[in-house]
Amino acid sequence: MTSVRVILSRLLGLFRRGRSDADLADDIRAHLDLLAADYRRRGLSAADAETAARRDFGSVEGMKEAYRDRRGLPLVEALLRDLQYGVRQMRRNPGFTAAAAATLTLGIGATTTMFSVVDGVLLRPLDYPAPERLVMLSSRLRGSPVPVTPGDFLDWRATNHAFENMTAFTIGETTLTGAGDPAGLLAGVVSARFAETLGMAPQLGRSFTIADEKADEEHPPAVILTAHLWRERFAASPSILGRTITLDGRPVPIVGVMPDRFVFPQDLFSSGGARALPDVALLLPLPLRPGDRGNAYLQVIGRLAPGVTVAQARAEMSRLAPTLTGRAAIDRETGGVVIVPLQQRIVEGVRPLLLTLFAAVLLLLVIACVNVANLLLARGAAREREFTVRRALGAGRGRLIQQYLTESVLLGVLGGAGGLVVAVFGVRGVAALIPRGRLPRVDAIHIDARVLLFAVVVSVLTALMFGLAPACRAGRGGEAAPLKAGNTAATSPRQRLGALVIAEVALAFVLVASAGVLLRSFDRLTGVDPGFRARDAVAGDVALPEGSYPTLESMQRFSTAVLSRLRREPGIAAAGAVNLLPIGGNLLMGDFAVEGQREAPGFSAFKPAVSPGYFTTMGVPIVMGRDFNDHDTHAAPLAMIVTTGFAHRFWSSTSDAVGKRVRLGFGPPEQDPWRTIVGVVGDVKQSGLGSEAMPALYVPIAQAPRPFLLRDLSFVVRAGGDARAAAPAIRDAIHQVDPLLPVGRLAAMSQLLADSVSEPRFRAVLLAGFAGAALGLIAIGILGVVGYTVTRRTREMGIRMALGARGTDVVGLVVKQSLLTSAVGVLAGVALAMPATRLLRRFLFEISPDDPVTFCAAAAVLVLLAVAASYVPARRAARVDPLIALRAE
Amino acid sequence: MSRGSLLLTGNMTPADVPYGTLDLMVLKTLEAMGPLHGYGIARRIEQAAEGSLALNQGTIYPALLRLEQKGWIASTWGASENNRRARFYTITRAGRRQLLREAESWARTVALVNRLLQGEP
Repeated sequence: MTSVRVILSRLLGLFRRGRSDADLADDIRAHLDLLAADYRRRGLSAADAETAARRDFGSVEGMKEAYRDRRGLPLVEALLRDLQYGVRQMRRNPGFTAAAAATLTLGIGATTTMFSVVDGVLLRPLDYPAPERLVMLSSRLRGSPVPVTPGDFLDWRATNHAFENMTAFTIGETTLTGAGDPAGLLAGVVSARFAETLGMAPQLGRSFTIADEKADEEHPPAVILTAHLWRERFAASPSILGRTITLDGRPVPIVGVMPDRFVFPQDLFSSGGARALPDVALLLPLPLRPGDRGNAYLQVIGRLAPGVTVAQARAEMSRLAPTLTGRAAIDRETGGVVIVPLQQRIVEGVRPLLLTLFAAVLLLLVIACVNVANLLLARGAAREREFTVRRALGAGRGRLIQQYLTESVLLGVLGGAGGLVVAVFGVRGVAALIPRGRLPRVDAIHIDARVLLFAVVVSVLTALMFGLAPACRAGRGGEAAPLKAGNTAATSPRQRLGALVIAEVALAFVLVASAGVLLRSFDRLTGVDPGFRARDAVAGDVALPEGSYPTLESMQRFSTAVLSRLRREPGIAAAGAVNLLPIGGNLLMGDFAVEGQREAPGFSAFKPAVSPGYFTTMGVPIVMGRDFNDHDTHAAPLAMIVTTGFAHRFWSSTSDAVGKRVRLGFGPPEQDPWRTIVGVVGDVKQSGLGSEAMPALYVPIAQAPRPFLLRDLSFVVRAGGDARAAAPAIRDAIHQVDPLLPVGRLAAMSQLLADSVSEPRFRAVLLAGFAGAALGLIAIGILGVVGYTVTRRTREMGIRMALGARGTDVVGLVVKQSLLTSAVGVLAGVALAMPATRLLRRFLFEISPDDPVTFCAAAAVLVLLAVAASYVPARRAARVDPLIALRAE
Repeated sequence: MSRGSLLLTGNMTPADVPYGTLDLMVLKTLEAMGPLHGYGIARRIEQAAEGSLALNQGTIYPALLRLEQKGWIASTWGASENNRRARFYTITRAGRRQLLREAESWARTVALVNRLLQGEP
């Protein structure tokens, strides 16, 4: 209790210093006065009485010091004094302070920005209750996870008891009419207990049940709205349940509303890795038929039962393997089932990228610290005199180190504050730069307490890192040598400065070389031939609702009508239709059987449906045989066109392929009839420039086997003249045929291509940014260091010039030194960069990590930069009048 | 932080007396004599020691500060005999309790030591 009182009054004592000193002075004066009066009464003279009084009292100053120590908190007071002193120092050297603070702001700001990205995407747990119990289940194909067939999902759900709940989902589109403007909406098509599996029970109404799964695909029995849609279109009306809305022309009753914080799971199979789906507006039930293993398009999430681990779930699945059919035949060991924790699955695609970027930014931070340490050492040498004097006056070594570190921390905090401001903008900038939908959990990236804490910790750590070495030097400054005038032989600090510059250059080389290989890789990637001619090709997507287009024939008629209108347009050279647009994001792969060959296990092909003229429009070469034509109706013999890659896999040449027969599945002949190959076309890179061209089996739209295949169509046109008129032409043609149909994405194929490489572009741009920042820091650093060195050697240079050396000789001396230092730094950098760029191998496309051209270019850039940066201050010094230089000390 | 030093002369050898003893003496003085200023307390302690104690009077002030921080004494401003502004100190209730505790503790220590000494044959 008393100790609390003591602490409180000592805390208060901090604030009343001035008053308290005055009070004490009064007390002391009164006391001395009384003592002196005593002595005067005893007969001493006034002067002797004073002396005697003071003797009796004891040392006044010593007592005052003891009093002050007891009154406040000496540690805090010392700290405050150091801070005051530090601030004064910083104001006295504005140039140095600005350079150091700017350097730190850049380093800490970039690091904090990247950390908030890494934190939001990788580290923060998913936004569901007990997210660590959520796992993703998928089938395995050639080692990679692929979507699941309904038949498999139903089997797993029924038999695997390691899971408390399991749900499957896919994405669909639907058109909402009758509630505001008609709109095409993204729908999550989900199985029963979807909400329960995720742990997010609807805030109104119910979730889907098993009964809902049995409904017909064409007649959804129920719909659940997201909170956002409920607020936006239905004014959050509490009596929403039971009302019907019109989806695709059909009335569907609303049975529930999801909670506000519900986030639809990431799309784990979009091309390019996991993708956030912020636009899902409502949930529809997923129709499921047991034994349906024809097409794999479901994503499955399971919640482990309490106490069950992932390993146990996997073991359970292997135990069940012999009883599972379908794809289980592929992999006896795991039943062909992959089980991974959901968060891991979501981020595993981007974890390497983000960690690489974070490592790069840390490198930048280290360069910034080295820079500031350089600047501090340079300035520290100038303050040597001050420290020596203070040591001579009795300041302890620890005290000096403490003061120096306080100044460093002050600098670090300044840099940290600036860095935080940079990070706020940086996060916004990076979020804008991230290609839309390419990074999972983008919504989770923001600056919060964790990021702030990180910024603070980083600021303090960097301050200690760059401040420690100079601080120890300051503490050691006890030699008398610096006090002597004319001391210019500062060789030791120069060696240290040289070492630091070498380190900086080496680290910067790593960044520049990394950026270089990424840029070259991106360059190579964009040079890849996608298999079609993207220039002047424009595509428009539509989604045909079942209400208006219940049958195959209605959809085929629609397609034909739009195409004939498009072909009549004057500005259009060619038009075609396809359901799976290349680089368009839709993937539909499936089984097939080749007549006379054993089925190749685990081999899937794309199965696009195209109109006649599609290949010409897209510029895909017809290598053998013929294109589809108007004779290939649904009554005519079934035709198929395959790609060159497919032909070569099964037959020795493309000409052999023509006339052979293929089936699109293993069902009975009425379902999967034999089709005859009538032509072979060039390979197309369906999923992107960086991936292989997968084999594809094209069927004519007129002979498409199942209605759902034609629900999504893309119309492609090749513009004859002005490409800008093509998009409106597509829209017009569609509206002429069906005025009520919303047109989806309208994009030039070249734009789609550019978007598809947005991630490599992002990588290259960001790393190039870091490399650029590093080069900037190097320039500042070398400017500063050379400037300091040259100033210290002013006298030496004055002597040289007085003895006849020309200005250019002096400059040459400095530049040569800089050249040497940077060359050594580059060599060290090459040694560091070789293992470092090897880490980038997975991001590189057709370029080796230690590409010699890039390394040479990086070396040249750094050496030239160093030479240029040292030339400037050297020139300035060489122009100084030798007489002035000689008098400099 | 320098300790207060009381120079002990006479029967005792010069030694540093820790603050604990000074606390006790100050509290007792204030309890017995009522409100005093620093000079008065120092004078009184010297008198009570009957010459065997000669203390640097200034050291009383850090001790008084400490006692005040602990809440055992309180201070008010007044005027000294020479009409100078000075602080007068009084003992508080908590101070009186502390005094009793300290006195008891002293008595116990003394009794224990006496017993040990007398215990020898």
